[in-house]
Amino acid sequence: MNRSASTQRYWRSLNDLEQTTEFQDLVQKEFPAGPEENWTATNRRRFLQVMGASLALGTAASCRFQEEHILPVKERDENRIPGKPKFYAGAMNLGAYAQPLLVTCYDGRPTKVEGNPDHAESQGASTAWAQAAILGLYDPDRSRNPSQFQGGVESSADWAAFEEFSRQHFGGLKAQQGQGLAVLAGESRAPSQARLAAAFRKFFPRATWTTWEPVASNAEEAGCRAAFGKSVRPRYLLSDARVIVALDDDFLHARPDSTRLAREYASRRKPDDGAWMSRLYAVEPVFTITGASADHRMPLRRAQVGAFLALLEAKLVEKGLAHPQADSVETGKPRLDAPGMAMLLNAMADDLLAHRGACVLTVGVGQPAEVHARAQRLNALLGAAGKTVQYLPAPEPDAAALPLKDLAQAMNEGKVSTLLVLGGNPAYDAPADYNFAAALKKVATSIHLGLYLDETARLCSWHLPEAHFLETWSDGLAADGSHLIGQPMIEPLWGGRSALEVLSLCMGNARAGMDLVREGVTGGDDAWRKAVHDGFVAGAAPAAETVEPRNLPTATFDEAALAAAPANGALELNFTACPKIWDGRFANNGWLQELPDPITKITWGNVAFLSYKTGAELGIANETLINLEVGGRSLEIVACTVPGAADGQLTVQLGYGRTSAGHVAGLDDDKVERTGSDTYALRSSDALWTVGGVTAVATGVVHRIASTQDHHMIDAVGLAGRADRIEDLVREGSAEEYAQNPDFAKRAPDFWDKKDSLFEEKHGDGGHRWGMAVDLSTCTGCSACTIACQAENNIPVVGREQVLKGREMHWIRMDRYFQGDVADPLNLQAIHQPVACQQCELAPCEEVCPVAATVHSSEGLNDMVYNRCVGTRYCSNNCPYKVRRFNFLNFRKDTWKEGNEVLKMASNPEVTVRSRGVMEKCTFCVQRIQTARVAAKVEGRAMRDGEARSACQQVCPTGSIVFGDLADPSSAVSKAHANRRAYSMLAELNNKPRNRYLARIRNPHPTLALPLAGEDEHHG
Amino acid sequence: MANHAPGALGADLVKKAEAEGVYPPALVQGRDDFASLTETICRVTEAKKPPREWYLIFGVAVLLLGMLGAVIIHLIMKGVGVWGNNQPVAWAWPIVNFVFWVGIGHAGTLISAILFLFRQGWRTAINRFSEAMTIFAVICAGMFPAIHVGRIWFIYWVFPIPNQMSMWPNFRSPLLWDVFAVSTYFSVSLLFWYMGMVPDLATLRDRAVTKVRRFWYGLFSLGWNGSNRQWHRYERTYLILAALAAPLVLSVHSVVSFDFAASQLPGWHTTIFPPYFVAGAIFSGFAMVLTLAIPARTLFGFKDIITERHVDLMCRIIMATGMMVGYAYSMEFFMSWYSANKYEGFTFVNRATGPYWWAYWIMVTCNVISPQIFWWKKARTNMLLVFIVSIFVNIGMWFERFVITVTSLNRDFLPSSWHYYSPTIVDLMTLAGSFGLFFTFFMLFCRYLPQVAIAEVKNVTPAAHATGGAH
Repeated sequence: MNRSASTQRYWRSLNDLEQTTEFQDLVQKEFPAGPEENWTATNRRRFLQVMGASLALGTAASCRFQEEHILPVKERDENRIPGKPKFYAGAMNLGAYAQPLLVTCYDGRPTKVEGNPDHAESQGASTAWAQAAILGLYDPDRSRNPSQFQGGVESSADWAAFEEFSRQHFGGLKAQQGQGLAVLAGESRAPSQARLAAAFRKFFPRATWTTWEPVASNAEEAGCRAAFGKSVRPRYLLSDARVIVALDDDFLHARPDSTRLAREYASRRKPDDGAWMSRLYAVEPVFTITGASADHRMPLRRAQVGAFLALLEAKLVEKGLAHPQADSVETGKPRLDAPGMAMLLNAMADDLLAHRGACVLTVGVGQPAEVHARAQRLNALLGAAGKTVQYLPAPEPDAAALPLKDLAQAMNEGKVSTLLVLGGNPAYDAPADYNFAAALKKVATSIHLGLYLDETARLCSWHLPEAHFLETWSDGLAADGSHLIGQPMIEPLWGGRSALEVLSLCMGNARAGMDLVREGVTGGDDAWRKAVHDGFVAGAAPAAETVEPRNLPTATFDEAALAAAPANGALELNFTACPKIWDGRFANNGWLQELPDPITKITWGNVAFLSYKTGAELGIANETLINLEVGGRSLEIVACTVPGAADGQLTVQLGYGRTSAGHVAGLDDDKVERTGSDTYALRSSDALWTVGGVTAVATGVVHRIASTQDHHMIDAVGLAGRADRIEDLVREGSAEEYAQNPDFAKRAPDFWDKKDSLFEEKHGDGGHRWGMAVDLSTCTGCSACTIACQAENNIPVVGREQVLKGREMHWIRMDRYFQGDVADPLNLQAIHQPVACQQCELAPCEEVCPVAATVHSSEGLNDMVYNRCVGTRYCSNNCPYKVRRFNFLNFRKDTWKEGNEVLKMASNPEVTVRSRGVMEKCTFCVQRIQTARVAAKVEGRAMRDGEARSACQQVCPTGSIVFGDLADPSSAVSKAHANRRAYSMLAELNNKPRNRYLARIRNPHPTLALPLAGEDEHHG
Repeated sequence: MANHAPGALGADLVKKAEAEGVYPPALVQGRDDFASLTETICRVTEAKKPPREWYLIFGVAVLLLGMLGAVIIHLIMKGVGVWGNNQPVAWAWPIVNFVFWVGIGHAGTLISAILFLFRQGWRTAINRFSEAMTIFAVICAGMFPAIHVGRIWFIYWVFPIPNQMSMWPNFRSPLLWDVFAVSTYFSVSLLFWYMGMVPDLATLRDRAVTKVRRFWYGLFSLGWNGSNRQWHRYERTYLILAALAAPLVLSVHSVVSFDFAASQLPGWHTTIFPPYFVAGAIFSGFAMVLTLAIPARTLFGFKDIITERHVDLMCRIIMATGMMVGYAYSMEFFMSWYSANKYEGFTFVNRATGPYWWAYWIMVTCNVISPQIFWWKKARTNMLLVFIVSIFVNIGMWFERFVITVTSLNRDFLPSSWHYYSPTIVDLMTLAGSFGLFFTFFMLFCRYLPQVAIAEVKNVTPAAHATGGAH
């Protein structure tokens, strides 16, 4: 090692200090990266240096007990019990806002992320992104050392080298007051970042500061400013909303506070015992989970949504809404019509007026500020402000900030000598017309801080490894305005540093991340400790503001964009954030790549969604490649015809087609195939969310889409067979039907009794009887349960090829069916049904296993004994729900690859990692039951209801999944089973599943009588 | 005496034919006496070189066997995923091949045991041959359940052997019944075959001119000297073994059908399966006997022993069992409609008109329609035509198992889990390799063992008839 002993300030032993070979060996063993690493010789050495350094650093600066795997702990740290998990509060920034988390750590190793149960926003629920953060943390593709690029050639460096460089370089810049220095950061509203940014701009007064976020809600705040004349942002309170109108807004999934919104929304979707039920209208270009949850949904092109709102406003005025600009609303009515739209508008207007003060309009990120302004003003006029929508203070627009466009121009003109990119990946996700990548090459000194050696990093002269949010101190602003604190759960694996630390370093004063975050918390040690412990600063949420609606300029509409059926060449192209990998930042996360899209069930890649009708008109077949051309740019992408898409438009998801993401999502250097197409290539700054004048050219080249559920590539026989049975599998009815006949969901087998059996049946009635209930009425299909289960139960990722073969491993899958006629978009509905092992009391899988590898526990669980399984797969054949998953190949093999060993750290130590050739399936999280049982036993009491929570139940934002003891009549799950909506899937097979579904209730407007399940043919 | 006594299977047809003077009374034609029969059969093993065609077939078979070995090594190294199996089609070609080979393995014991008990003298010409086929087919069949499991190295857990885990296998599982049924069938068939061969091995021993032949045939002929006492014991044992083996003919494929019938999958869960599978197995077994016998009788000069009449009789059995499976196919449809179970009903409509319609109609064409040509005697005695139909039946019966296994699994209860199944190249290579295994054994048998039961066939010669039957 060339690190001399004298440079180490702290050491643990003389061996450490001297860096003897023995010590090296020990270090190697701890992190299983062996000496035969697949990197260059220098890299391996560098890695060991960084490891040694971070070990030493961690000993001194860690906030938690030291990691001492190798050298025995002479004295055990206080409260440390090896193998017992600890829980720490944390925060994850995604875009402007952060999500409050609670992280499970085993022996100093984070293995599971949950929502922070103490925080009002989360209440224990979390998002798929938060769940998947564990895999992101241990991603072997993360960059492991600072590197320097000269003329495109990478040479590895270390932090000491960068520190030396920055001292000189930023010292020189300081002398010129930062002339030629530019910073590009994400749009985070984290208090510490804001504070440090201000300090930085003060330190380098002539430096410029730019923020860029590919998916940002700027238009919403701009709209609020226009509507109310002050900087506010809406916060919807759906618990009290009887009528919700979502305009191109996937508020159940894509908003920073979607977890809370989904919870509040769901609280009004269970009309049991006469409780009132909200009604949701959705208008959107393609199905989102919000549209799938809606009682009435209308597909409209994105450009038409504003016109639709204008018509709604006019209708409201017509029906007597007091409106300050009633005249201009009436005269400015656009010409827009679609089948059934008049009726829908009428019903919506009636509903909104009937529930003034208990209704709300929400508008999505893809709509322009004018639409937001009109909708928010309508909220105020309908009396919703302060009741179903609060207006929280938002920061004033940063007038001094340099827009990205100007930054790109300055870079092109050579006015930027030093560019500091703090996170983000602008070379990939900046608007195509800025040509940012080319501009970046003209910057003499560019420094990129990021988790990966991504597209931007490869164009910069310096790349610095960023610390993952689970590795570092951070803070963030929750969507409710409260101040979240994030703490490191583990030493930075690869010695990364946070953006705060790098900013501080550039100012010549390398301060520790903790000090920087702590500065933002007022009060003494106690306040700080409490904030770190709780994960948020108590009482820091801001008060809501009162708003007064203002006059808005009369809306103008581009008649061409409203045309009913635009010709090819005038098509509309819409961009949306991917519900899985967001803007592309999570692209290299296998869990998210393989998570089936909630609506289309597509994994591994993006497609262009279009309606059947548009596909037929353009001669575009499903699963073929098409060329999209707009504004002189073109892109090849797979076409996917879907039900419920507006005609005359295509919708594409952002974040795919990465060239330098990693070994999961695409890495040109290593010839790793890109997943999906880079749709940023078509996205220009004047049309971030929607663009007209698009030409789609069919190529006819077939490209198979890896979806986990065949959506429509199905013959007539299959369609008929499916239509025939879905009404029994997913049962639904209207609120009215439910009120009249609460047992509407029951079928004859649901009334069968144990006593009817000819045989003596063993049900596993000893002590507890574990059971589950899933409320289809509140399930939105968000699929967070799938990822939570994957994280909890060490479920492997299988890859695109294997998904195409039908070998995905998810233990809980989200079945999705469409119903209605594709040609009648207003009556087209989607329904979701999560399906995991039903834990049958008379389990068909158990009888057929020749080696008794799947057996019944005394508490009624259908246990799978991996050790005993020889893999005949007979159990799977005999499972009517097909929830069993087989390890057809060694799906863990990637962890064997050199350099990938770190992936093993992501595994939950409580759950066996299954080998090749073994069957697996949902266990009801038996390890969590055991943990709760042990805790209860130690305390000498019975287990309490809700103490053992399955991972899917814990993550579910709507509380649709209830798990517990059926032997306890007062448990939540017993009550759910006793609910009159409850039914068992395929009860007629007499498997006696322990899982029951609660029928979905829709709440259609009486004048829009929709055909409901059982009356109409299903498609899907 | 008993040689021409009518039995149950096909016997009255024989009687009728004889009454009409269609057949000469002797089952063995030509002017063979006992010595020339012995000579005809033994010279195949004693010839310096086998026919050139033997080398060709054996060479191809060994190559395919080598490929099978390579494929199995690949399979064990990589896992079951090298095949096309998926969720929900967790069983696919390997199980199809298993049932296919077990079915073929049916004719042998049927011919040896049941026809023996029914005193069907014509069986003697083909029984050795088809018993050998049975043994090799069951070997091929037995290989598939073993290699198709996920963890081959633990396959011995399916046997009820004492172990340190104190674990019994699960006696409720049809797969376990399968283990017992197939292994019992294999042992009894092997014993029966070997037992019946002992006098002939002694003949070969006595004729041997080289030390090596004398040693090996001597070893396996177990000191047979042809004494009356030995013959007496031999005949009693043969009868007992035949009585033991007869129920196995029915049981083994019934148990194989339980693998399907005892599950609750629509398309599998039917009570018709045991007789339907047995009929299908006899059907395919006889077809395979014909596929092998027709070339062999030309190749090794057995035309006088395996006569057109033998072929004719086997064609009739094929036609009869073909109609039985045809009846089963239509009865399945009727029951699925009559049960008013929508899942059941869908499965059968889906079989005939869904994505695998072609497999279903290949099955029907080959199994039900093609044997109908045997209503005509000309067809039954046209060796080329019979050979082609026998190949059709083999293909059709493979597809029958494919249809049952794959079309039922690929669309079961929940439409969300429906998934199309396609085989991989490894599937194809495994199937081809299993034929390599079969033909390697079979060609070795043809070369080194008496293909026709010498002692038994002499009983049905005109010479034996003249001096009275042996039993």
